[in-house]
Amino acid sequence: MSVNWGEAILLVGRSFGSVFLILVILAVVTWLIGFVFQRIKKGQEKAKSAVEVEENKTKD
Amino acid sequence: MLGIETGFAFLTWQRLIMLVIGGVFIYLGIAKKWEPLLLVPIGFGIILVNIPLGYHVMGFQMPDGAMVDYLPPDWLDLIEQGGKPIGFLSFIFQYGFGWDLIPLFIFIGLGALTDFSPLIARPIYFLLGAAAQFGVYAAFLIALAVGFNIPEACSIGIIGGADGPTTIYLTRRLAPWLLGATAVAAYTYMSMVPLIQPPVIRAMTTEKERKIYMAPALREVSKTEKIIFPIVVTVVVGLLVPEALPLIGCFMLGNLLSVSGVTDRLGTTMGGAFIDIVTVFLGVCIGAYLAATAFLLPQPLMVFGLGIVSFAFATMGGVLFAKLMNLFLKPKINPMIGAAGVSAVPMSSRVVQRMGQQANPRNFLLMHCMGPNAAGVIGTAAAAGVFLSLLTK
Repeated sequence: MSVNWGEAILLVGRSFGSVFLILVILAVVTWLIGFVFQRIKKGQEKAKSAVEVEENKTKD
Repeated sequence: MLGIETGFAFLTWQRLIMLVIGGVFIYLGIAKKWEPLLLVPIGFGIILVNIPLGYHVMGFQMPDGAMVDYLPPDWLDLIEQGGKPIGFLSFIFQYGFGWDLIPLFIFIGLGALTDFSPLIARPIYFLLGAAAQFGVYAAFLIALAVGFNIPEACSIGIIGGADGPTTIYLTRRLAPWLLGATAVAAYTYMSMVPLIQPPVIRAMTTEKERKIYMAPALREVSKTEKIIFPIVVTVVVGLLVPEALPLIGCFMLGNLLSVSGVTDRLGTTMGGAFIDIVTVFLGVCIGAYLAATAFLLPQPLMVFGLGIVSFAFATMGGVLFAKLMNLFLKPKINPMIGAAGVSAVPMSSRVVQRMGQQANPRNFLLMHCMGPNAAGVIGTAAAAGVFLSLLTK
């Protein structure tokens, strides 16, 4: 049985390329979500420490 | 004897060989502890189906009314022509595999058992999961070169993803006559990860590279991130490759149940009793599909041989890509973690962890390996989905 190598190579290229693209997109989306959450967390920690400083000042 | 038709007269040498193979599987599972949860039921299934005249185990009634004591490879076509399963395992096989239920149920359980935190903490590990799919495509081309057609080659290549349920899911759709061979190859090689991967990893890396130290701690991942992750992955992959949605959807459903914090009972059941029950039927049915008359033929044996090639290339792809990433990364990663990009969870992670500690006793790579490992499962499911969408249009 003869193999259509052109079709096979095209299939490999499209398929492997698609898998890479999908996982790259997932990596970017996951990184973005993590980035946003870390920003929010930092903001909350900053606000919390600012409140604590303010409270300490009031006590003094 | 006493008017009873015994099986001795039908005990051919092929059946004897398969009985021995079944025994070897059970031995490896029990004595060597190689994936015993799979090898023991598979081995017992092989023994069950190769005892002659066991029509009510995995038997099948052909369209002309004749009965056989095994499930023919073209059973799906035969059912359409009027054939019907008559064994108790044939029924489970018909619905469990013919309707894709068993692989998908396994994926729900696997999802419940998977911790995506390392992958969420370092999303770059997704790339290693993608690179390890190289084995799928290398084996695909080799399978074509040795005479398989394109759908068969896809089913053989996907063995390199080291993901049993995905292999079964894809083969059932593209080349159902190879189902027994590809499934057994996938599960056998998954259990042989500790034998297959180390020589390939050693060949692809220098001692200096194997010694690269990676700090064991990854950033803390919040509960909300863990909840959002399975939903986002399902939506993104589902939109990009709808054919992969059943696999990814079930995988992520199981994970969501275990991380949501309010469905602990469901998550625990899916990752415990549920996956155990399904695994028993999966293992016995796969084993019982390996009747001597259908398995000891050149084609299935060639599939078995190509499976190991696929696995080796997958390991190679992951390691080489990790080395490529090291050209740009600071601090560098230990390239061995690329080998965990094959989705044999958690076996390949353990192998890399052990090799990492042998090379540098300070190294603790397990958490870093779990990232590519989880990405590998997603990557293999995506690869199967892409194959399906390209070939079943």
